[in-house]
Amino acid sequence: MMSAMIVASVARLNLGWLALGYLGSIAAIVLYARRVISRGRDLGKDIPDADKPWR
Amino acid sequence: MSTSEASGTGTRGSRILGALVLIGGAVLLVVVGFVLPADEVQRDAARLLPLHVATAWLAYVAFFGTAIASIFYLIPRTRSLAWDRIAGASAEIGVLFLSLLIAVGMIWGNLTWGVFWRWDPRLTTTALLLLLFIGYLALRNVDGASERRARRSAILGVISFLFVPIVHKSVEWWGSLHQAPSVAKLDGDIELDDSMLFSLFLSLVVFSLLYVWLMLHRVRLARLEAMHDARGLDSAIAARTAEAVR
Repeated sequence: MMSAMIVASVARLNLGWLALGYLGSIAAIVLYARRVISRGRDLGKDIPDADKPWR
Repeated sequence: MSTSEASGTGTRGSRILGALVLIGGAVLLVVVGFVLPADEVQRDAARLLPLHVATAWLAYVAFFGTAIASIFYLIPRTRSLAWDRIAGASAEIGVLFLSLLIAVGMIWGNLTWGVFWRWDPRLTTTALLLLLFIGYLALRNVDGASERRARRSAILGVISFLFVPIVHKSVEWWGSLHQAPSVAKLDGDIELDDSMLFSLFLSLVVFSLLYVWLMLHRVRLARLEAMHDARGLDSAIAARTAEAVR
């Protein structure tokens, strides 16, 4: 009984670290992408679309 | 779509690519969380490996992109500030993913080795690679004429990339605690479970698409920044000229 509880708590701890690894990575990528896209929007407002070759 | 959305770095193609990355990422999370069985030795910590390997792949690809773009800049016939912008964008993305690689690797190390960090050859060389490319990004921000800045950045970009094979081979050369390659082996003998192999393959595809998507936006942003700087310079010159005439 005791050993099962220890195994379960260790498993929960592992899942916490896994969640931190995945969610932390997703959060970092999303924050970076948001920063790039929003800065692009801000700068793009001052520049006509004709000067943007991807338009 | 509003006007502000249309004026940025996004296009229909980049939005489709972004949607593919989101769908692929969601499928990857489901596979890693529910399909991939726990490893016999590493238990659930093995679920971090697709993310760990994919971040390493993306960082290496990004630094390779920086090196290639830098070489194109250094060749007089192909010299263009567009290559410099591509090199800078790729290095920035590489630094982000190399940082994630180290962070995820530390979590994995804590779960399997019992410590977050060891001054092991692979870990140490990876940390040095991160420092090299942080230095590269810092050099890009040093003031100076665009051409001079681009030239010295290109030289450092190529030199920094030469460290990537050293990081990759460190496991074999110096007997690292970090495991040796499981898939990228010359003898082709892959000792991996099919579900893990599929997860790794899927993570590499998703992260490769993510790299392309991020590059599209970051390179376009770099071009907008260059145009913005040029406009600022033009208006400053015009103001000075007007002052002189008065």
